[in-house]
Amino acid sequence: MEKSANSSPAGNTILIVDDEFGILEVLEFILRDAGFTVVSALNGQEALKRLEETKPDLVIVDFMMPILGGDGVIRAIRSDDRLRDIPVILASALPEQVIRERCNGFNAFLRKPFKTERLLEEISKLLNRPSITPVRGTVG
Amino acid sequence: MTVTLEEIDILSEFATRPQRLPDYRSEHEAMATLAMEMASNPRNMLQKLVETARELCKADSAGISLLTGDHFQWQALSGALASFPSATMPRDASPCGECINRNAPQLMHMPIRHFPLIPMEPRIVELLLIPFHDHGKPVGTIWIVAHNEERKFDREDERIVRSLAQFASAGWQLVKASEAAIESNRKKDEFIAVLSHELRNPISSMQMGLYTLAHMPLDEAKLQKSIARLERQTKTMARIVGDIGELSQLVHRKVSIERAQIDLRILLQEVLEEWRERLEESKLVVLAEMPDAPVVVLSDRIRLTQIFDNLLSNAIKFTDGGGMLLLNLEADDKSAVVQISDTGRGFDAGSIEDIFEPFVQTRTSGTSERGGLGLGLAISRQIVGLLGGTITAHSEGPGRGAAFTLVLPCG
Repeated sequence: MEKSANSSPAGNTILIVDDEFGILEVLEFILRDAGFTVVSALNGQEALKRLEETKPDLVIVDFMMPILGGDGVIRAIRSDDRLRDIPVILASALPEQVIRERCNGFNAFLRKPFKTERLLEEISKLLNRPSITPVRGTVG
Repeated sequence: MTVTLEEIDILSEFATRPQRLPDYRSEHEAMATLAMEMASNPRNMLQKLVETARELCKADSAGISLLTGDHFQWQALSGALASFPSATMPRDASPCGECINRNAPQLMHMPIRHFPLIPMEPRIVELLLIPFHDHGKPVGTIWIVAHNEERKFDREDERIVRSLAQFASAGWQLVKASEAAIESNRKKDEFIAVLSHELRNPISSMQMGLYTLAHMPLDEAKLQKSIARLERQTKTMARIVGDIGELSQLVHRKVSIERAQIDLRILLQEVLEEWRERLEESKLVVLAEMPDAPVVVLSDRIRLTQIFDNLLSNAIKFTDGGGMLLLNLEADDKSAVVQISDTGRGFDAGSIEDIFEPFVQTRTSGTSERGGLGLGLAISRQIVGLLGGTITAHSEGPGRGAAFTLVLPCG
């Protein structure tokens, strides 16, 4: 079985929240392969449940979701002593200026469709880690 | 204590009252101004119109009442009654109702004696009403009022107001047409904006999928998985683009409709058979109720199947296993009614109209609608329209199931 040449960011858990299943699926794959433990949720309400169960090291959340959206999740995180320091990346199909009118409290914003490399760079930055962009054709 | 209609009706006095000489010059000037106003600002025209009526007829007040449903609403006012808050009155309690019913000019003296709901102050002593229409349908009345006994309206006033009523009809149709065009444009702009927004999500997942192929070390199994995922996403996109194309064609009526005698019982049974496996998989209890006699409609088999497919697909999507799906067919000699209802997630009563709009996924609660843009019902509604029928949705509320009712004219 191949392993990535980069050191596994062992112990880092990322919570991903998006109502688009296709995005969750592939993002989970990418992040797991990069060595992260991934927890996922299809909407804000589910995300809050996951947050009760574990404290992730980073949250990637979509803005527009049924039941409870990204802004609700962020508000819940920032108003909880246990969770308030968790870095949050907010993603959306909406443009940044519209998002900023309706929401704050996130550490980074990515407009969909975003380059996967950019997402990985942001994750590295926010977790204070070396680049997690995997290298192809690596040693086992 | 109200008096009879006959006692307030003084239309016959037109025959005996002296008719003043027409002032064609003033009339001509006023009409020319009105025409210009109509061209430049149709919405204000009704106001200008009542002001003109008041001037030319030397009335104390003038106004236009519009009929909405079974109520009249004052729309434009001039003179002493102008300071009145906009009044709404049930059709039967209004002199305007009488005017519309008889579809003829009305002249009334102290109408409050028969219509107690009209304003008491300032006194409405004489009231002349003329109906106006939109393509033959009564739209409202234009009326002038005298607040004292001195001013008595004559045939000349009736002629002028009738003329203005024609202006009102024309202006009204212009305003409606222009409002419809503006609304249509707004909807198109919104559609394009929402569409371009909605496509960002599927594209995002495809981009990440491509990233996995281009940049990640993948063993055979993972490679296959990535490729399979991309294929799924591409198919989804293809379906979305296909749906949009279809919706566009339907809206522009660029589709042909075949017509054949179809027994709906047989068609529905075929559809249920086609869906049997999927229904079993979804663990839904299916109940179908159909009459013994044939239910024949003159319609398009393929298009009807498309609608039923969409409704069944939604029912499965939004109803958890163990729930029920009911299919009910009824008919009388005029129309056939198919109702497909489920005991699933239902939707908010406020969304009843929205649910047929493109991209609306109001029943999404917990699980995202996979592989779709929410166009199914929009497409179904368009098709139903082309087939000469109607489709409506109903739900008692979230979690309380939903029912979709399709009505088709009997062939």
